[in-house]
Amino acid sequence: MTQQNTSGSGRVVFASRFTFVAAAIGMAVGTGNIWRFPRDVHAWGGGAFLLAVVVANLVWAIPLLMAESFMGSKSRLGTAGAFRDIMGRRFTWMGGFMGMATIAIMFYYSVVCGWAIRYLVYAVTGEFSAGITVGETTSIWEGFTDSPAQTVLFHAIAITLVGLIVFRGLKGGFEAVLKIVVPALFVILAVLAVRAMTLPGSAEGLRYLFVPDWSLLGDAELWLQAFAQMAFSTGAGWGLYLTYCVYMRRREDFALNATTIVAGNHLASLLAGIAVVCTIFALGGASFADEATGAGNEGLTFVYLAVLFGEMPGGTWFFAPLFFLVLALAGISSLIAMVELAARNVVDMGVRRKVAVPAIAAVAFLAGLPAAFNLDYLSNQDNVWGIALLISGLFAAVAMMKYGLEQARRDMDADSDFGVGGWWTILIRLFPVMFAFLFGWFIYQSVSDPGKAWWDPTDTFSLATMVVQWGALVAILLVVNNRLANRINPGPISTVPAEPGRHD
Amino acid sequence: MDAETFIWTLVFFGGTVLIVAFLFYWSWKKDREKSRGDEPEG
Repeated sequence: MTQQNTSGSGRVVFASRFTFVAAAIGMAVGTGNIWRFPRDVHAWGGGAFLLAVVVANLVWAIPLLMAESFMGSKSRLGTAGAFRDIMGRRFTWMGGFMGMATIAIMFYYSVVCGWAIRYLVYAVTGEFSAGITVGETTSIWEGFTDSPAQTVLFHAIAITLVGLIVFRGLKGGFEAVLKIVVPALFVILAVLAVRAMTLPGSAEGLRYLFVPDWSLLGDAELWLQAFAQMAFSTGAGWGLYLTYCVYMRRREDFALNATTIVAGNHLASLLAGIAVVCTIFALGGASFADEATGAGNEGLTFVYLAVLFGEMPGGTWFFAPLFFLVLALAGISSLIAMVELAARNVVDMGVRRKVAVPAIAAVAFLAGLPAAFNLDYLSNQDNVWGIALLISGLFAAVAMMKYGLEQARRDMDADSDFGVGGWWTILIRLFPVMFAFLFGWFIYQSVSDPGKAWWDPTDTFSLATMVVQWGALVAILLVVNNRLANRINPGPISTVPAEPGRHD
Repeated sequence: MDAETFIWTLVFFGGTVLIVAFLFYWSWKKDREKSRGDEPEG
């Protein structure tokens, strides 16, 4: 095969479909696959929840990733530029919102990656030895998170490492790293899943994961949770896939690639689910599993699983380092995409990559400090910008409608291996309805729960804190909309004249 | 492992593995066909 390194216009592109799909799966597979997915599956009826996630993947994630792919590959610009050129100058702020929501996630996600790296170091140095208790792993966790020097140091390590990778650009940078890291991630997950499945008593874990409780399928809350899990997990609506598609080869597939990425991400979730849940059931029993899954993402991973590694044959010196390595790799592969999203938007404004990436890493370090110091702040940001992804997804669907769904479908068909059927246009048209259902249900829950102070903007999980932060971002973006639209370089479909002195 | 757990594990996990393998195979096959079509004759 003739390896393409540049598009017809001279822009650098992924060398092959494999590296492109691998990078995109790396973008999608993150810490959520490993610590959130198993807990959600347990809470919402095992197989019934899995079925709802599959439906959410089919009706939301795949069509939305295709829309992002179209926007990125057509405009060859980051989120803000893509919205400008696909929707029109007046709507540049929507791309700004999509980009800024993901950048806000990047700030605290670097801190989370730092945790994974810290625990990899703990594991390699034999911290989780035989006989360690929940009390001791709790002390390790609290000792770490109560020490700003440590959380800040590992946050700095994470963002510096990722900054160095993105600094080198696609070639020799994130493409070179991800084509090794992502297959390695699947191999390690498979090793951990096989180890867990072969432990005596692991069948209870499989029952917990896969046997459906069909009575829950009629519960609207299950569907909301399944869609939330899907939105967090696949990266649909984040603008990350849009960003990678800026580097997509000219004649690439849209439907097949999006489906492969979503299916690959789902497989990673199942492997992680088997590895985590079967280990907990086999070594801890049902009551320990209930306690562990009720302890939140961090509690499950850093307190309860850490105990079990001490009890597993080979756990201290082999499986614990392997587990925290996969957690770190999953986090870093997603963080790379987030930093590249920020870099792409800044480079589009005429700043050289070699200036943009160090500046972004420095800003990410500083903006991540509150999350490194305070777990409540991190939870607040996770909640505010995690839910904002649904809004970003709606914006992408609206952009497609504004462009013309039939025209977009014809454009995609011209390059695809598999024709993009009428199903895509129907699903994109249904997006506002799906969004209204999901968002409406979320608001109803927030307002109707007497235990939540939904009107209090200072409350970590309130509706008001979200509305205030989203509102502030939208207001700023609307004010700077025209300046932003002018500042971004023209792309291949731009009607905006080029300004002199811009760099790519 | 009881029969119910075995069947649902096979459906959800085995099914996902098969689908991913199939999608990667088709991606590779179609990409190869496209690349051959792009190569100049002679």
